[in-house]
Amino acid sequence: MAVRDGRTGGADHGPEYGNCVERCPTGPDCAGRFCCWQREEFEQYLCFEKVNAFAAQQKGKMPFLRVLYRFKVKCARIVPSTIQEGIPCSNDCAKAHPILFCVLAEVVFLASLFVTDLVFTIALVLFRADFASIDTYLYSTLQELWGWWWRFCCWPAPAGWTCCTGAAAAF
Amino acid sequence: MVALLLLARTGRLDLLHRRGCGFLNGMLVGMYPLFFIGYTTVGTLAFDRPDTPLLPLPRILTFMLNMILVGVAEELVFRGIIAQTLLERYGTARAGVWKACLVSGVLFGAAHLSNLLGSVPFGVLMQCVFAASLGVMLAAIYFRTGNLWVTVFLHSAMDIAAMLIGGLYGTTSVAESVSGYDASRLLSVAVYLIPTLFLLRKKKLPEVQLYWGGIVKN
Repeated sequence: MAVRDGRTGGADHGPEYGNCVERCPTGPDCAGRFCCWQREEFEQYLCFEKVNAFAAQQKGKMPFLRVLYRFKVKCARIVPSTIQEGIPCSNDCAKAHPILFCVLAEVVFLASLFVTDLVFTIALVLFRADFASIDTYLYSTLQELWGWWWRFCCWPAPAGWTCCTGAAAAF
Repeated sequence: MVALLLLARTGRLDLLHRRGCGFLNGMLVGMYPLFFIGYTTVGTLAFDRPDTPLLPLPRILTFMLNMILVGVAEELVFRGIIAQTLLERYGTARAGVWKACLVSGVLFGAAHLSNLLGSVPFGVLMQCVFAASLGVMLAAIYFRTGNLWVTVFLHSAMDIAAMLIGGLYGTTSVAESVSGYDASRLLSVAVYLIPTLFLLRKKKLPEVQLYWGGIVKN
């Protein structure tokens, strides 16, 4: 398993260890490795082999759901928490049912426009804005800019949350 | 936001950095719509200009920014996600490319049905036909260039040209413009599909395979 993450980890584990990969300390029976930058950033250990095995097992049960897990760590052991969420696994759906995926993507896109419109209108009502004087283009621009703000300020997902396939991509 | 989220979830964020044939070469591929945009802009400013004064500069800039952002969002969804997914499904053979263009165009046209909430139904129907044929041509340009920013530029410029009077003088809103569309919009089917036939001619299909062959399994 190659480490693709370019960040160097703790002081003791530089590139000579494959960018901070070392043997998993969770037990002698585990041949897995963990990455110490996870420990530094999220104060947790992630044993990649265990995470991957667990994610693959769950994914097999729900092929069209990508499952987000939060891993609690206790004494360097990974314990999947009870907090689990399923969101549509777009990539699998796109490959299996491309037309359905395209229609769904369109519906989600249009629905998001509708919802944003609604939220902005409610916000304007709450702020008692004068609808007659509002520039409709400015109104629409603000809705669009909100998405770009999210892209550049809130990307990626909050720390502590690991996506099963995202975790695989991290190394 | 949804467009970016869908791109991320399908592992296609790299298409924002993909050069393809390059932006300027892409402009050469998209020369026909560029000419059309210029023609519409000049025609509108020369013959349809109202007597009212121009809007203040900030409002004009807001209009431009809005049209650009709409172009970006729609291109990300309809070309970056939908057209590309369909191309991956149908393959880069001639029939596959055409199917992907046509289906993505129809979906792009159908998306404009949402304007039924604020405009006259016949105008919206004409807009859907117009948008569907435009969608087919933009998909063809995207496949030929492999660069999403080319279609983003063309789409934004077309939106600006189409809404120019409303954006510069504030005399008509988008809903009013759509309501005013008549049966002459049906001509757009020929106006956009004939150049698409030229763009996707047999001789140029190797270009599509060059940019998409690595991604698409035939």
